Amino acid sequence: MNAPMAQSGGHPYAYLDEFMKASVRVAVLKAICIPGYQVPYVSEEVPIARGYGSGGLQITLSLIGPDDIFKIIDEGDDETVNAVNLRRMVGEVTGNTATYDATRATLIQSRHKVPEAPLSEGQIVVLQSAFPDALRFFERSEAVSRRMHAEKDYGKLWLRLYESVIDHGEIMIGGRYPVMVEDRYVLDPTHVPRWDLPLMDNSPALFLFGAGREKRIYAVPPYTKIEPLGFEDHPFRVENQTGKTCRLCGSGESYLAPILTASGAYDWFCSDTSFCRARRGEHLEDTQWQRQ
Amino acid sequence: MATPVIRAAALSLRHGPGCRRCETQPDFDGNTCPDCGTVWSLRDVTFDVAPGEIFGIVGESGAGKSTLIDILDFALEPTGGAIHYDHWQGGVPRLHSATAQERRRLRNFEISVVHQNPRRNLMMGVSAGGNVVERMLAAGDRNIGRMRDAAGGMLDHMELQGRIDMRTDKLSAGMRQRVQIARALVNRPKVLLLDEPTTGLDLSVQARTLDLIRRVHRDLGLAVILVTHDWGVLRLLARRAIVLKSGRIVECGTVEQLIEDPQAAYTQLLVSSAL
Amino acid sequence: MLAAEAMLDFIRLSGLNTPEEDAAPITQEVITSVLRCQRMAVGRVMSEAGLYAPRLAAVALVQAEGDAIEASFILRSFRASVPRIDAARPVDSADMRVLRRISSAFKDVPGGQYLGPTRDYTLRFLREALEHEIPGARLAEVIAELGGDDAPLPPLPRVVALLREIGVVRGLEGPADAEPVDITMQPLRFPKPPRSARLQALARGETGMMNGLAYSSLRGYGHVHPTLGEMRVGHVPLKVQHPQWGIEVDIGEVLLTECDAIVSGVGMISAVEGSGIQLDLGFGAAFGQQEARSIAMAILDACISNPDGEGPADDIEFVLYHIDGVESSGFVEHLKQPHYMLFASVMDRITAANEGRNAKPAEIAQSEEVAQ
Repeated sequence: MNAPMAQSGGHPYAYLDEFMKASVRVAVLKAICIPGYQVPYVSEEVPIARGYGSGGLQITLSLIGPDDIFKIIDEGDDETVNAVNLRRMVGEVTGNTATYDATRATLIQSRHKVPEAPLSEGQIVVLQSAFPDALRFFERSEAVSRRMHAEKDYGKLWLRLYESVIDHGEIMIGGRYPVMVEDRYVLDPTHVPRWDLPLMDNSPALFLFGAGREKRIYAVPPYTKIEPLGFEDHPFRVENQTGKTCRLCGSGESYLAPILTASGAYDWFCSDTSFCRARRGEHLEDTQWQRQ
Repeated sequence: MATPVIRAAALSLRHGPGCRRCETQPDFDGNTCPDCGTVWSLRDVTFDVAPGEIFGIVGESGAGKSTLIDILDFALEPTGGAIHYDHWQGGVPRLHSATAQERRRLRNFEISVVHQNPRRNLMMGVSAGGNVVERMLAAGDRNIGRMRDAAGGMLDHMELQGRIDMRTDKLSAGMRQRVQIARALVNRPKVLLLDEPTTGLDLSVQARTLDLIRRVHRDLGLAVILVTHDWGVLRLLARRAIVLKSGRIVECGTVEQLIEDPQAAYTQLLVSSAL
Repeated sequence: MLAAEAMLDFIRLSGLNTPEEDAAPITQEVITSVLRCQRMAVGRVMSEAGLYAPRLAAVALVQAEGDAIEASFILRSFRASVPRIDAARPVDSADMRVLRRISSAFKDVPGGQYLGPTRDYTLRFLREALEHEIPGARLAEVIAELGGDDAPLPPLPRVVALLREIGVVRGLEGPADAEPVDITMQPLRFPKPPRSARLQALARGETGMMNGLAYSSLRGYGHVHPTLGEMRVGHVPLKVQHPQWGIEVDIGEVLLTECDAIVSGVGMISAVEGSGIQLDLGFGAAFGQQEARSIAMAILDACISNPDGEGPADDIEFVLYHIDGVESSGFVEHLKQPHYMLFASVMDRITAANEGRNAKPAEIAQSEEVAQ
């Protein structure tokens, strides 16, 4: 663990070569121009495994500049193994400052969570995406789903939602809840909890989504309308947290995650750990990394 | 008559390179050119359908009847001639010059098809109600209660009371056919294409289905293009018809004329062996 | 053919005797080094062979020059030759000396999450420095880093057992003590072989095929995209009933990977009717530390247990017929055998058909002349 990680000799700033960065940036620009549209791009291997955030990392490393302050979270937590590992990688190839404070980070890479703290203009949230296409789970063919997006033909998706209500009385989708972007494209917001979707709607921040394994980048520009799909009489609903509060800070306004206890009951905690710590008056530290 | 709602002008569909003989002097029987092997599924088919009329296309299998439906449904492109639809751009341009988006809109709202094989239109793993509701969702409806009421009413109309949540693959053939009809009508199209709507159904079920079609036509006043090989069905439903053989029109007229006083030898042959 | 075997041995052995080295390692040392330094290959071979015998697996790998499927084949045929003395009692994973234990379904679980030895989060830089590694020195460093925490782990109840108690996960299929079927003694029968047979067939499946099929399900070509309730890696004791005294006796331990996958559905939550709506389960296990194949196995177990799925991974016959590496590689490679009798027969048919075709235009030309 203590052995320096960049053992293969001098890398350029942010590890990726200029061709790779350029192709990612072009894809990002295209994605911003067409909110919700999945832009194909060349996704070369990076040292972390496919399925562990390679797409998100490619975007972060292609966009980060010497003045950026970055934050990396996984399921809302800055301290999971995944988050620690990614932060170390980004820190060592850039020498930038990392922070736990979402309000001061200029670039936030996240897996499965939108930061609870209010975001502002100029901030970029990079979400790691496993399934860029909201239609994939019932239309396996890429050719067919592309046509459906092109023709705004989402009949089959709506039908699935209808059948779910008829069968169970509820729209039975947990995470990856499909949303309509600016009334044009249906987008897969990744495995963020439904709780987070209102945070994405009309946000001053830029949201970028990187799916490295599937080789797609898509975006929700600032102040863009995000509408989770639902019916007039069976509307979209966030997770029911009535009566639940965080055991540490008492919050009932942030997304709570369960811990299974030995009796089979759940204890609830803020999933956004830094948000929770800030509420408890803790100081959220910065780390200045050294470029290896 | 009033302006026809559908006008077919010299419609042709060929597979093959074509040659002088089959293009200019078709003097062969059947639809395959002996010189170049080109197959003419349809050749020079011209007819008009008036708004609100039931128009028949009759012939034996292989005559090109289903090909005609596939062309009207945008499943195939004609290689010659044109279809004009009065409610799209005043019937002026060829219907097949419509873009993919426009075609989808036309198929969703204006020209519906009921196929001989319900599997082409129906999602078998979905409930009967789901198959009908899917059309409403495509039209932008977002209220489940209202959609279920409308779908339920439509299915009741089709004598499928209580089946709204039944999986389509658990329904009998006759029921599936009626679900198809309900689905085709829910968005109030102006033209309904029926491809052999009762073929393969038990006789008693056939009678009910034909009755249903007549009732629906009377209530909604839409134009119907009915493809069948069954002269009994034709006589019951259609007012005018064309007789197809090897892709060509052999005779046309009112159904009464075709049955009582067929002019072409082929028509005489068909009528006498059928009725 | 004997020359072919001699040639294989030549390639394998001349590689060991490089002129620069004074003391070239003898074959036994190579086997030991495979056993110690390539335990992932050893674990894979044992799992695919269905035989827990680490050293023998290492021998097979050396014999096969590193060809894992070939090695598992060798080990399997060895398995077929040894007498079956007895069956062990079912393993209780509560007895596991845990090396690693994680649950993706919860942030924390009773007993705790233990990352253990894993490559999951390593950065994949090629470590050329391994060429100059001094094992002794590095080992001393590592031991110092890890410290010496020898405290025993708290009891680790299975996450899935808890979820079953509270009714979130469906109960077991069939009685818990039913006699398992051994597919090496009874053939698989379709449409639906008993679960023990399905699991055994999957447990011996070829790792690549299992990965690929499981991946296809995750991407929507199957109906299963689970959340891992639990994965544990560790040593479990094997017990048998003493033949004379009738008591349970420990005869040793095996390194096992076990995985419980909770089927939460691809996109839509796919729940089953039970007493309320419940989630289904998939189970995977392998000899050695074999995580990808255990997870893949759990996914495939869930896929083929549900008759309603429509992807290739959901098709029980497709999966179970093509999952075995010895069978698949064997048949693919059998094409190298002589097939010239078959081919001659094929050529004969083509010649006959072409002669028939060539005759036709001549006939038409004749009839045209006649017509004119």
